[in-house]
Amino acid sequence: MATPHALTKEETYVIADSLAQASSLVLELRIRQRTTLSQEEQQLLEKHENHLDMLVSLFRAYGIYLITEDARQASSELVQAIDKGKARLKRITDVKAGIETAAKLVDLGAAILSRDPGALLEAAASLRSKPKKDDAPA
Amino acid sequence: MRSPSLLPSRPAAAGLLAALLLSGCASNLAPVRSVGEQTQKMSAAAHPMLAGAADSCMAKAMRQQLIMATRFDAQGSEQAARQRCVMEEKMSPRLVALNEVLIAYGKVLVDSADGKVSSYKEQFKGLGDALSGLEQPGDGAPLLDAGQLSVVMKLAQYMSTLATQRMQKASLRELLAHQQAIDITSNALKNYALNIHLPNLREEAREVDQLRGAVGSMSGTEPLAANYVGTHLYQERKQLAQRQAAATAYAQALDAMQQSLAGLATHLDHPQDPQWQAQVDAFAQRVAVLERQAALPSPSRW
Repeated sequence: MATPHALTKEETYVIADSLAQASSLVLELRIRQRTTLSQEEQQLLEKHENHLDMLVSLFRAYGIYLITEDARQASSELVQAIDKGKARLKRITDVKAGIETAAKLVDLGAAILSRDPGALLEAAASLRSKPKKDDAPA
Repeated sequence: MRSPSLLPSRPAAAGLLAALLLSGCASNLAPVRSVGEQTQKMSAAAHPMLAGAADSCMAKAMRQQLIMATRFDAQGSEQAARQRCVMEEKMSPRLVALNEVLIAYGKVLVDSADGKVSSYKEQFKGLGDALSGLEQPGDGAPLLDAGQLSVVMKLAQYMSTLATQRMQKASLRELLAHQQAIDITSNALKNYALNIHLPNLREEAREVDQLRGAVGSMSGTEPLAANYVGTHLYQERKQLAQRQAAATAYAQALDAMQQSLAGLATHLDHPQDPQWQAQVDAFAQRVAVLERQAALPSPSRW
Protein backbone atom coordinates (compact mmCIF):
# COMPACT_ATOMS: atom_id res chain seq x y z
CA MET A 1 0.00 0.00 0.00
CA ALA A 2 1.29 3.43 -0.88
CA THR A 3 2.38 5.58 2.02
CA PRO A 4 2.11 9.38 1.77
CA HIS A 5 5.91 9.51 1.44
CA ALA A 6 5.75 7.52 -1.77
CA LEU A 7 3.43 10.05 -3.42
CA THR A 8 4.77 11.87 -6.44
CA LYS A 9 4.11 15.58 -6.81
CA GLU A 10 1.81 14.87 -9.76
CA GLU A 11 -0.27 12.59 -7.50
CA THR A 12 -0.59 15.30 -4.87
CA TYR A 13 -1.94 17.69 -7.55
CA VAL A 14 -4.58 15.17 -8.65
CA ILE A 15 -5.62 14.28 -5.10
CA ALA A 16 -5.88 17.94 -4.07
CA ASP A 17 -7.92 18.77 -7.20
CA SER A 18 -10.31 15.86 -6.57
CA LEU A 19 -10.78 16.75 -2.92
CA ALA A 20 -11.43 20.38 -3.88
CA GLN A 21 -14.09 19.21 -6.32
CA ALA A 22 -15.72 17.11 -3.61
CA SER A 23 -15.71 20.10 -1.25
CA SER A 24 -17.30 22.22 -3.95
CA LEU A 25 -20.10 19.67 -4.38
CA VAL A 26 -20.80 19.73 -0.64
CA LEU A 27 -20.98 23.54 -0.75
CA GLU A 28 -23.36 23.32 -3.71
CA LEU A 29 -25.54 20.91 -1.75
CA ARG A 30 -25.56 23.20 1.29
CA ILE A 31 -26.59 26.15 -0.86
CA ARG A 32 -29.33 24.30 -2.73
CA GLN A 33 -30.79 22.51 0.29
CA ARG A 34 -30.37 25.43 2.60
CA THR A 35 -34.07 25.73 3.37
CA THR A 36 -34.87 22.03 3.46
CA LEU A 37 -31.99 20.65 5.57
CA SER A 38 -32.23 20.56 9.35
CA GLN A 39 -29.81 22.61 11.45
CA GLU A 40 -27.92 19.41 12.41
CA GLU A 41 -27.64 18.28 8.80
CA GLN A 42 -26.36 21.72 7.78
CA GLN A 43 -23.73 21.63 10.51
CA LEU A 44 -22.65 18.12 9.61
CA LEU A 45 -22.20 19.06 5.94
CA GLU A 46 -20.29 22.18 6.95
CA LYS A 47 -17.96 20.05 9.05
CA HIS A 48 -17.33 17.67 6.15
CA GLU A 49 -16.66 20.55 3.84
CA ASN A 50 -14.16 22.07 6.26
CA HIS A 51 -12.47 18.72 6.61
CA LEU A 52 -12.15 18.33 2.85
CA ASP A 53 -10.76 21.86 2.50
CA MET A 54 -8.18 21.17 5.16
CA LEU A 55 -7.08 18.06 3.24
CA VAL A 56 -6.86 20.11 0.03
CA SER A 57 -4.54 22.56 1.76
CA LEU A 58 -2.43 19.73 3.21
CA PHE A 59 -1.97 18.03 -0.16
CA ARG A 60 -1.14 21.35 -1.82
CA ALA A 61 1.41 22.06 0.91
CA TYR A 62 2.88 18.58 0.42
CA GLY A 63 3.03 19.29 -3.32
CA ILE A 64 5.03 22.47 -2.65
CA TYR A 65 7.32 20.50 -0.36
CA LEU A 66 8.01 17.90 -3.08
CA ILE A 67 8.47 20.57 -5.79
CA THR A 68 10.97 22.55 -3.74
CA GLU A 69 12.72 19.41 -2.46
CA ASP A 70 13.36 18.32 -6.07
CA ALA A 71 14.98 21.70 -6.78
CA ARG A 72 17.08 21.82 -3.60
CA GLN A 73 20.29 20.43 -5.13
CA ALA A 74 19.94 22.51 -8.30
CA SER A 75 19.39 25.73 -6.39
CA SER A 76 22.38 25.16 -4.11
CA GLU A 77 24.48 24.51 -7.24
CA LEU A 78 23.29 27.88 -8.53
CA VAL A 79 24.09 29.61 -5.26
CA GLN A 80 27.66 28.30 -5.53
CA ALA A 81 27.91 29.41 -9.16
CA ILE A 82 26.68 32.89 -8.17
CA ASP A 83 29.28 33.13 -5.38
CA LYS A 84 32.03 32.06 -7.77
CA GLY A 85 30.82 34.62 -10.33
CA LYS A 86 31.05 37.36 -7.71
CA ALA A 87 34.57 36.22 -6.76
CA ARG A 88 35.65 36.37 -10.42
CA LEU A 89 34.31 39.90 -10.76
CA LYS A 90 36.36 40.82 -7.72
CA ARG A 91 39.48 39.39 -9.35
CA ILE A 92 38.94 41.54 -12.46
CA THR A 93 38.63 44.58 -10.21
CA ASP A 94 41.93 43.57 -8.61
CA VAL A 95 43.63 43.63 -12.02
CA LYS A 96 42.43 47.21 -12.41
CA ALA A 97 43.77 48.10 -8.99
CA GLY A 98 47.09 46.60 -10.16
CA ILE A 99 47.28 49.06 -13.06
CA GLU A 100 46.57 51.96 -10.73
CA THR A 101 49.38 50.76 -8.51
CA ALA A 102 51.69 50.51 -11.51
CA ALA A 103 50.93 54.15 -12.39
CA LYS A 104 51.81 55.19 -8.85
CA LEU A 105 55.03 53.19 -8.94
CA VAL A 106 56.01 55.09 -12.07
CA ASP A 107 55.22 58.35 -10.28
CA LEU A 108 57.41 57.23 -7.41
CA GLY A 109 60.20 56.32 -9.83
CA ALA A 110 59.91 59.74 -11.46
CA ALA A 111 60.05 61.45 -8.11
CA ILE A 112 63.19 59.50 -7.13
CA LEU A 113 64.85 60.41 -10.42
CA SER A 114 63.94 64.07 -10.08
CA ARG A 115 65.35 64.14 -6.52
CA ASP A 116 62.42 66.31 -5.51
CA PRO A 117 61.70 65.43 -1.85
CA GLY A 118 58.20 66.95 -1.97
CA ALA A 119 57.16 64.92 -5.01
CA LEU A 120 58.80 61.83 -3.51
CA LEU A 121 56.79 62.09 -0.32
CA GLU A 122 53.59 62.77 -2.25
CA ALA A 123 54.09 59.78 -4.58
CA ALA A 124 54.99 57.47 -1.69
CA ALA A 125 51.95 58.55 0.29
CA SER A 126 49.69 58.06 -2.71
CA LEU A 127 51.08 54.57 -3.28
CA ARG A 128 50.52 53.63 0.33
CA SER A 129 47.02 55.00 0.60
CA LYS A 130 45.10 53.76 -2.42
CA PRO A 131 45.45 49.99 -2.72
CA LYS A 132 44.09 49.48 0.79
CA LYS A 133 40.57 49.38 -0.66
CA ASP A 134 41.24 46.48 -2.99
CA ASP A 135 44.01 44.68 -1.21
CA ALA A 136 42.07 41.48 -0.58
CA PRO A 137 43.80 38.46 -2.08
CA ALA A 138 42.73 37.59 -5.59
CA MET B 1 59.17 67.23 -13.29
CA ARG B 2 56.49 66.37 -15.76
CA SER B 3 56.51 68.00 -19.14
CA PRO B 4 53.09 67.32 -20.65
CA SER B 5 53.58 70.08 -23.21
CA LEU B 6 56.12 67.94 -24.99
CA LEU B 7 53.52 65.28 -25.68
CA PRO B 8 51.69 65.61 -28.95
CA SER B 9 48.26 64.18 -29.47
CA ARG B 10 49.31 60.67 -30.45
CA PRO B 11 48.74 59.07 -27.05
CA ALA B 12 45.42 60.84 -26.91
CA ALA B 13 44.54 59.39 -30.30
CA ALA B 14 45.63 55.94 -29.14
CA GLY B 15 43.55 56.36 -26.02
CA LEU B 16 40.56 57.39 -28.06
CA LEU B 17 40.96 54.38 -30.30
CA ALA B 18 41.21 52.06 -27.33
CA ALA B 19 38.18 53.68 -25.74
CA LEU B 20 36.20 53.20 -28.93
CA LEU B 21 37.23 49.56 -29.13
CA LEU B 22 36.35 49.02 -25.51
CA SER B 23 32.99 50.68 -25.71
CA GLY B 24 32.27 48.56 -28.78
CA CYS B 25 32.99 45.41 -26.79
CA ALA B 26 30.85 46.65 -23.94
CA SER B 27 27.77 47.21 -26.07
CA ASN B 28 28.22 43.72 -27.52
CA LEU B 29 27.13 42.29 -24.23
CA ALA B 30 24.01 44.46 -23.95
CA PRO B 31 21.66 41.54 -24.77
CA VAL B 32 23.33 39.50 -22.02
CA ARG B 33 22.66 42.30 -19.54
CA SER B 34 19.09 42.48 -20.78
CA VAL B 35 18.51 38.78 -20.01
CA GLY B 36 19.84 39.33 -16.48
CA GLU B 37 17.68 42.41 -15.96
CA GLN B 38 14.52 40.70 -17.25
CA THR B 39 15.20 37.73 -14.97
CA GLN B 40 15.32 40.08 -11.99
CA LYS B 41 12.16 41.92 -13.06
CA MET B 42 10.25 38.68 -13.63
CA SER B 43 11.18 37.30 -10.23
CA ALA B 44 10.29 40.56 -8.47
CA ALA B 45 6.83 40.55 -10.11
CA ALA B 46 6.25 36.92 -9.11
CA HIS B 47 7.24 37.40 -5.47
CA PRO B 48 3.70 38.08 -4.10
CA MET B 49 2.24 34.88 -5.58
CA LEU B 50 5.09 32.83 -4.10
CA ALA B 51 5.10 34.56 -0.72
CA GLY B 52 1.31 34.18 -0.49
CA ALA B 53 0.99 30.43 -1.06
CA ALA B 54 -1.65 30.29 1.69
CA ASP B 55 -3.64 33.32 0.42
CA SER B 56 -6.21 31.31 -1.52
CA CYS B 57 -6.71 28.89 1.34
CA MET B 58 -7.28 31.74 3.81
CA ALA B 59 -9.58 33.67 1.48
CA LYS B 60 -11.69 30.59 0.76
CA ALA B 61 -12.05 29.70 4.41
CA MET B 62 -13.05 33.23 5.45
CA ARG B 63 -15.43 33.77 2.54
CA GLN B 64 -17.25 30.50 3.15
CA GLN B 65 -17.58 31.11 6.85
CA LEU B 66 -18.92 34.62 6.39
CA ILE B 67 -21.59 33.63 3.93
CA MET B 68 -22.46 30.04 4.69
CA ALA B 69 -21.59 29.28 8.34
CA THR B 70 -24.51 28.15 10.46
CA ARG B 71 -23.01 30.14 13.34
CA PHE B 72 -20.52 32.84 12.32
CA ASP B 73 -17.88 34.13 14.71
CA ALA B 74 -15.34 36.47 13.09
CA GLN B 75 -12.41 35.82 15.43
CA GLY B 76 -13.04 32.09 15.70
CA SER B 77 -13.34 31.83 11.92
CA GLU B 78 -10.03 33.56 11.38
CA GLN B 79 -8.28 31.26 13.81
CA ALA B 80 -9.84 28.22 12.17
CA ALA B 81 -8.76 29.48 8.75
CA ARG B 82 -5.18 29.98 9.94
CA GLN B 83 -5.11 26.50 11.34
CA ARG B 84 -6.41 25.07 8.12
CA CYS B 85 -3.81 26.85 5.98
CA VAL B 86 -0.80 26.62 8.27
CA MET B 87 1.07 24.02 6.20
CA GLU B 88 0.81 26.01 2.98
CA GLU B 89 1.97 29.08 4.87
CA LYS B 90 4.99 27.15 6.15
CA MET B 91 5.93 26.06 2.62
CA SER B 92 5.85 29.58 1.17
CA PRO B 93 9.42 30.56 2.24
CA ARG B 94 10.79 27.58 0.30
CA LEU B 95 9.31 29.03 -2.90
CA VAL B 96 10.54 32.51 -2.03
CA ALA B 97 14.05 31.10 -1.52
CA LEU B 98 14.08 29.53 -5.00
CA ASN B 99 12.88 32.81 -6.47
CA GLU B 100 15.64 34.71 -4.69
CA VAL B 101 18.24 32.42 -6.24
CA LEU B 102 16.95 33.46 -9.67
CA ILE B 103 17.10 37.15 -8.67
CA ALA B 104 20.73 36.73 -7.52
CA TYR B 105 21.59 34.87 -10.72
CA GLY B 106 20.10 37.66 -12.82
CA LYS B 107 22.10 40.24 -10.86
CA VAL B 108 25.46 38.49 -11.20
CA LEU B 109 24.76 38.05 -14.91
CA VAL B 110 24.14 41.80 -15.25
CA ASP B 111 27.27 42.64 -13.23
CA SER B 112 29.45 40.22 -15.20
CA ALA B 113 28.27 41.58 -18.55
CA ASP B 114 28.74 45.19 -17.46
CA GLY B 115 30.80 47.19 -19.95
CA LYS B 116 32.72 48.81 -17.09
CA VAL B 117 34.23 45.45 -16.18
CA SER B 118 36.40 45.39 -19.30
CA SER B 119 36.96 49.15 -19.58
CA TYR B 120 40.26 50.49 -18.32
CA LYS B 121 39.89 54.07 -19.49
CA GLU B 122 40.47 55.63 -16.10
CA GLN B 123 43.21 53.29 -15.00
CA PHE B 124 45.21 53.79 -18.21
CA LYS B 125 44.82 57.52 -18.14
CA GLY B 126 46.66 57.46 -14.82
CA LEU B 127 49.38 55.18 -16.14
CA GLY B 128 49.79 57.29 -19.29
CA ASP B 129 50.09 60.48 -17.25
CA ALA B 130 52.65 58.86 -14.99
CA LEU B 131 54.75 57.51 -17.85
CA SER B 132 54.65 60.78 -19.76
CA GLY B 133 55.93 62.55 -16.64
CA LEU B 134 59.12 60.49 -16.50
CA GLU B 135 62.25 62.51 -17.23
CA GLN B 136 65.78 61.57 -18.09
CA PRO B 137 68.07 62.24 -15.15
CA GLY B 138 70.05 65.40 -15.65
CA ASP B 139 68.59 67.18 -18.66
CA GLY B 140 64.91 66.84 -17.79
CA ALA B 141 63.99 65.54 -21.25
CA PRO B 142 61.11 63.02 -21.30
CA LEU B 143 62.26 59.44 -20.78
CA LEU B 144 59.80 58.17 -23.38
CA ASP B 145 59.13 60.22 -26.45
CA ALA B 146 55.56 60.50 -27.69
CA GLY B 147 55.94 57.62 -30.15
CA GLN B 148 57.44 55.28 -27.59
CA LEU B 149 54.83 56.20 -25.02
CA SER B 150 52.06 55.52 -27.47
CA VAL B 151 53.48 52.06 -28.27
CA VAL B 152 53.93 51.18 -24.61
CA MET B 153 50.40 52.31 -23.75
CA LYS B 154 48.82 50.47 -26.65
CA LEU B 155 50.56 47.27 -25.71
CA ALA B 156 49.63 47.57 -22.04
CA GLN B 157 46.02 48.31 -22.90
CA TYR B 158 45.85 45.48 -25.36
CA MET B 159 47.23 42.99 -22.86
CA SER B 160 44.94 44.06 -20.03
CA THR B 161 41.81 44.30 -22.11
CA LEU B 162 42.49 40.96 -23.63
CA ALA B 163 43.05 39.46 -20.21
CA THR B 164 39.93 41.03 -18.74
CA GLN B 165 37.72 40.27 -21.68
CA ARG B 166 38.84 36.69 -21.47
CA MET B 167 38.08 36.69 -17.78
CA GLN B 168 34.72 38.32 -18.42
CA LYS B 169 33.76 35.82 -21.09
CA ALA B 170 35.08 32.92 -18.99
CA SER B 171 33.06 34.20 -16.07
CA LEU B 172 29.88 34.37 -18.15
CA ARG B 173 30.56 30.94 -19.60
CA GLU B 174 30.95 29.53 -16.10
CA LEU B 175 27.66 31.11 -15.05
CA LEU B 176 25.88 29.76 -18.11
CA ALA B 177 27.26 26.26 -17.63
CA HIS B 178 24.56 25.68 -15.03
CA GLN B 179 21.72 25.55 -17.51
CA GLN B 180 20.33 22.34 -16.05
CA ALA B 181 20.23 23.79 -12.54
CA ILE B 182 18.46 26.88 -13.90
CA ASP B 183 15.93 24.67 -15.67
CA ILE B 184 15.26 22.57 -12.57
CA THR B 185 14.90 25.62 -10.32
CA SER B 186 12.66 27.54 -12.71
CA ASN B 187 10.62 24.42 -13.54
CA ALA B 188 9.90 24.07 -9.82
CA LEU B 189 8.49 27.60 -9.76
CA LYS B 190 6.53 26.93 -12.95
CA ASN B 191 5.15 23.74 -11.42
CA TYR B 192 3.95 25.70 -8.43
CA ALA B 193 2.37 28.40 -10.59
CA LEU B 194 0.52 25.98 -12.88
CA ASN B 195 -0.27 23.02 -10.62
CA ILE B 196 -0.88 24.63 -7.24
CA HIS B 197 -1.39 28.38 -7.51
CA LEU B 198 -3.60 28.26 -10.61
CA PRO B 199 -5.88 25.44 -9.31
CA ASN B 200 -6.18 27.35 -6.01
CA LEU B 201 -7.35 30.44 -7.92
CA ARG B 202 -9.73 28.41 -10.10
CA GLU B 203 -11.32 26.88 -7.02
CA GLU B 204 -11.65 30.29 -5.43
CA ALA B 205 -13.36 31.52 -8.60
CA ARG B 206 -15.71 28.54 -8.64
CA GLU B 207 -16.57 29.11 -5.00
CA VAL B 208 -17.20 32.81 -5.57
CA ASP B 209 -19.62 31.90 -8.38
CA GLN B 210 -21.46 29.49 -6.09
CA LEU B 211 -21.65 32.03 -3.29
CA ARG B 212 -22.88 34.73 -5.64
CA GLY B 213 -25.79 32.45 -6.47
CA ALA B 214 -26.49 31.91 -2.78
CA VAL B 215 -26.30 35.63 -2.00
CA GLY B 216 -28.55 36.42 -4.95
CA SER B 217 -31.28 34.19 -3.52
CA MET B 218 -31.12 36.14 -0.24
CA SER B 219 -31.75 39.50 -1.87
CA GLY B 220 -35.50 39.26 -1.23
CA THR B 221 -35.14 39.02 2.55
CA GLU B 222 -31.88 40.96 3.14
CA PRO B 223 -31.50 43.30 0.14
CA LEU B 224 -28.88 45.62 1.62
CA ALA B 225 -26.53 42.90 2.91
CA ALA B 226 -27.05 40.82 -0.23
CA ASN B 227 -26.22 43.75 -2.51
CA TYR B 228 -23.14 44.67 -0.51
CA VAL B 229 -21.74 41.12 -0.44
CA GLY B 230 -22.80 40.57 -4.03
CA THR B 231 -20.82 43.61 -5.18
CA HIS B 232 -17.78 42.52 -3.22
CA LEU B 233 -17.95 39.04 -4.72
CA TYR B 234 -18.29 40.51 -8.20
CA GLN B 235 -15.08 42.54 -7.72
CA GLU B 236 -13.31 39.50 -6.32
CA ARG B 237 -14.35 37.40 -9.29
CA LYS B 238 -12.84 39.93 -11.70
CA GLN B 239 -9.63 40.07 -9.69
CA LEU B 240 -9.38 36.28 -9.60
CA ALA B 241 -9.57 36.15 -13.39
CA GLN B 242 -6.70 38.64 -13.60
CA ARG B 243 -4.63 36.73 -11.06
CA GLN B 244 -5.11 33.54 -13.08
CA ALA B 245 -3.83 35.39 -16.13
CA ALA B 246 -0.80 36.54 -14.09
CA ALA B 247 0.00 32.94 -13.07
CA THR B 248 -0.10 31.85 -16.72
CA ALA B 249 2.00 34.85 -17.75
CA TYR B 250 4.57 33.92 -15.10
CA ALA B 251 4.85 30.35 -16.43
CA GLN B 252 5.32 31.70 -19.95
CA ALA B 253 7.97 34.18 -18.78
CA LEU B 254 9.86 31.32 -17.08
CA ASP B 255 9.81 29.36 -20.36
CA ALA B 256 11.08 32.41 -22.26
CA MET B 257 13.85 32.88 -19.68
CA GLN B 258 14.99 29.27 -20.09
CA GLN B 259 15.11 29.70 -23.87
CA SER B 260 17.01 32.99 -23.65
CA LEU B 261 19.60 31.55 -21.28
CA ALA B 262 20.04 28.40 -23.35
CA GLY B 263 20.49 30.61 -26.43
CA LEU B 264 22.94 32.81 -24.56
CA ALA B 265 25.19 29.86 -23.77
CA THR B 266 25.61 29.15 -27.49
CA HIS B 267 25.69 32.78 -28.65
CA LEU B 268 28.14 34.30 -26.20
CA ASP B 269 30.66 34.88 -28.99
CA HIS B 270 27.98 36.31 -31.30
CA PRO B 271 25.58 38.12 -28.98
CA GLN B 272 24.18 40.12 -31.89
CA ASP B 273 22.80 37.00 -33.62
CA PRO B 274 19.29 38.00 -34.79
CA GLN B 275 17.68 34.70 -33.85
CA TRP B 276 18.92 34.93 -30.30
CA GLN B 277 18.05 38.63 -30.16
CA ALA B 278 14.49 37.62 -31.04
CA GLN B 279 14.47 35.21 -28.08
CA VAL B 280 15.70 37.97 -25.78
CA ASP B 281 13.01 40.33 -27.08
CA ALA B 282 10.35 37.64 -26.62
CA PHE B 283 11.49 37.17 -23.02
CA ALA B 284 11.25 40.94 -22.40
CA GLN B 285 7.73 40.95 -23.84
CA ARG B 286 6.66 38.07 -21.60
CA VAL B 287 8.02 39.87 -18.57
CA ALA B 288 6.17 43.05 -19.58
CA VAL B 289 2.90 41.07 -19.79
CA LEU B 290 3.57 39.51 -16.39
CA GLU B 291 4.33 42.90 -14.84
CA ARG B 292 1.08 44.30 -16.23
CA GLN B 293 -0.95 41.36 -14.94
CA ALA B 294 0.76 41.24 -11.58
CA ALA B 295 0.42 44.99 -10.93
CA LEU B 296 -2.89 44.49 -9.18
CA PRO B 297 -4.11 45.36 -5.74
CA SER B 298 -3.41 42.44 -3.42
CA PRO B 299 -6.31 40.04 -2.86
CA SER B 300 -9.02 41.64 -0.79
CA ARG B 301 -9.43 40.33 2.74
CA TRP B 302 -12.68 39.35 4.30
